[in-house]
This record gives sequence, C-alpha cells and structure tokens, in this order.
Amino acid sequence: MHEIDVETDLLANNNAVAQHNRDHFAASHTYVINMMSSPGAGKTTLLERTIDALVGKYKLGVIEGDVQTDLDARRIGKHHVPVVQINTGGACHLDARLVHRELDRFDTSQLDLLIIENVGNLVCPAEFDLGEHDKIMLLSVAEGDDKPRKYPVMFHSSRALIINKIDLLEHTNFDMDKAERDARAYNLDLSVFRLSARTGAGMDGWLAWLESRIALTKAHGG
Amino acid sequence: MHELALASEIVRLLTDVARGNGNCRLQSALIELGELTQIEPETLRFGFEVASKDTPAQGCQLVYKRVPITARCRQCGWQGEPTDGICGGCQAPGLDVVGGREMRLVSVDIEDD
Repeated sequence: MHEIDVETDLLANNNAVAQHNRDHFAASHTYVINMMSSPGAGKTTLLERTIDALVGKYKLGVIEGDVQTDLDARRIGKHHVPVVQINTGGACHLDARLVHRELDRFDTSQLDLLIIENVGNLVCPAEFDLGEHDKIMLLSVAEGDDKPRKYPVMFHSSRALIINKIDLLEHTNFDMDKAERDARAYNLDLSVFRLSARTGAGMDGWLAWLESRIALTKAHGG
Repeated sequence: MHELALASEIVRLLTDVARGNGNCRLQSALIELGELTQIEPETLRFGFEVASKDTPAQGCQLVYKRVPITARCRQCGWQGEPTDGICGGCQAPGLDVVGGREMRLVSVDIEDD
C-alpha cells in the first residue's frame, strides 16, 4: 500500500466555474449579489422594493433560485426587469454551474446589477461560490436572534446583513445588538442594515450602500 | 443535503486517482474538514456510499481529520483557537478567521498490485 497526495479542495470544480462567471461579470462591469436567507425571511419582497427604487436609474436583471415553481419569477417579472427562474429540482442551493447555464439568457453587457436570489436555506448556499461580488444575508426578526450563532457560516461569508421585518420587533424578543455582535464574531467588516421591506423603513441605507457598490464595480469591474 | 454534492465531487476526484494509477484499488481517503464548515461527516459518508456505487471509488474508506478554528485579533495580534469569537489575548470581540474553513481531499492510500 502507498499514499498518493491529492491536496484538492472539494469545491475546486465549482470554484473554477464561479471564477469563469466572475470574469464574465468583471468584463461587463456588472455588480452581482447572491441573496441568501431561510424561507420566508422576505427575500422576494425586499427584491421587489429594491427593484422599484432602482429600475429607473440602472439596468437590472434577476435570477430566481427555487426548488420548485416559478412563483417568485412571476412576482419579479411584474416589475419590468428581465428574470430567469432556476429550479434546482430538489437541491438545496444554487451552484456556479446552474448560474453559468443561464447567463446566455441575459445580455450582461447591458446590466448594472444582477441579483441572484438563492434557494431559501440557512446552511447549504454558504459554501457554494457563484461568482458573485458579494453575498448578502437576510435575517427576519421573526426567526430569532440566535440564528447567527446556530448557522454561523452564512453570516461569516456575507458582505452585508439585512435584518428585515423590524416593524414586527415589538412582538418578538429579538435582540438586535446580540444578533449583530454574533454575526460579526468572525466577520468584522460586515455591513448591517435594519429595515422593513414591507413598510419601507430603513430602506434608504441599504439602497445607498447598494448604489455605492454598483458605482465601484462600474469603475473597477471585478 | 449539500453533502451529496460534495460526495459526488469526492467520487470524481477518487475516480481520477484510480484511473491515473493503473485502475488500482483505493483503500482510504483522508478528508480535511474545518470546524467552520457545516458538513455532517456521517451524512457525507452515507452520500459517498451511494454516489460511489459501481465506480472505481466504491469501497474506499473516508477518514476525516477535523481542523480547528484558528483566528487572529486585529487589536492585539493574538492568534489561536477562540471561544465564541472572543480574542484569547485582549478579550476584544470580533476576529479574522485564519483556519477552519477547509474542505479538502488530502491524500489517498492505494493498494499495490
């Protein structure tokens, strides 16, 4: 018997395709975000509000990831932006290959912002690089402030955390400071926005941040 | 169940190893899993058994090596195994991760003819 060194990342294949996607986005100076949350945190509502605020100013595109149905794509389609639905057919996350297959359906050279809405899940999407610039984590106060500790990887790998449904705060025992502190435990540079996508409270800060990221990508590409 | 996706990847890598070494039999594979990954080792093992059926990777034992979280403090430069994201030197909250996110196939033991 003898030993053979392999020394290969288990995600090497996915990461290679993600890098290909990333090069594609860099060439067209399209800012790309990967939005992650548990089911029901309000990703699609936040997306609708975000699109309505930015659609007159920027060229947007959306990729919707779901296990089944095109319900979300139909919701987004009403907001006058190109949208592509990916059904994973049971898989709990999007991967770089699934995104790559759909890129031809957009003229990315015309897009300022591409939003990828990942499958609702607090575990699996974190490990799979799609080639996005930033992962954005969405947590709603109804889910509880213990989620950053229970599902740390999602929170540690994100550039921004949106705490949604703050209009429900008084009906919960959600501790904002605790959630923020735990989310930052291994992610010191995390930007945090507290908002309600439903009422619109706090949306300004999120939108200003998003616009600054779009501008940065326009100027520098990758 | 992202373990199944990773299990398929292990099968692919091990199949390459077997083919690259005269279709040898694979005894065991050493897999490094960082404490900051959310991989359930037994689920991965089960997924591997399913995914490796009728492939050159079938029968190969997965051996795991857990890699602890290592982090560094921006305030005082301390580096080590932290508890709850608190610096072991100056007790400041918030650290930069240095290790613990590994998910790697390190090496494979193969049977000689």
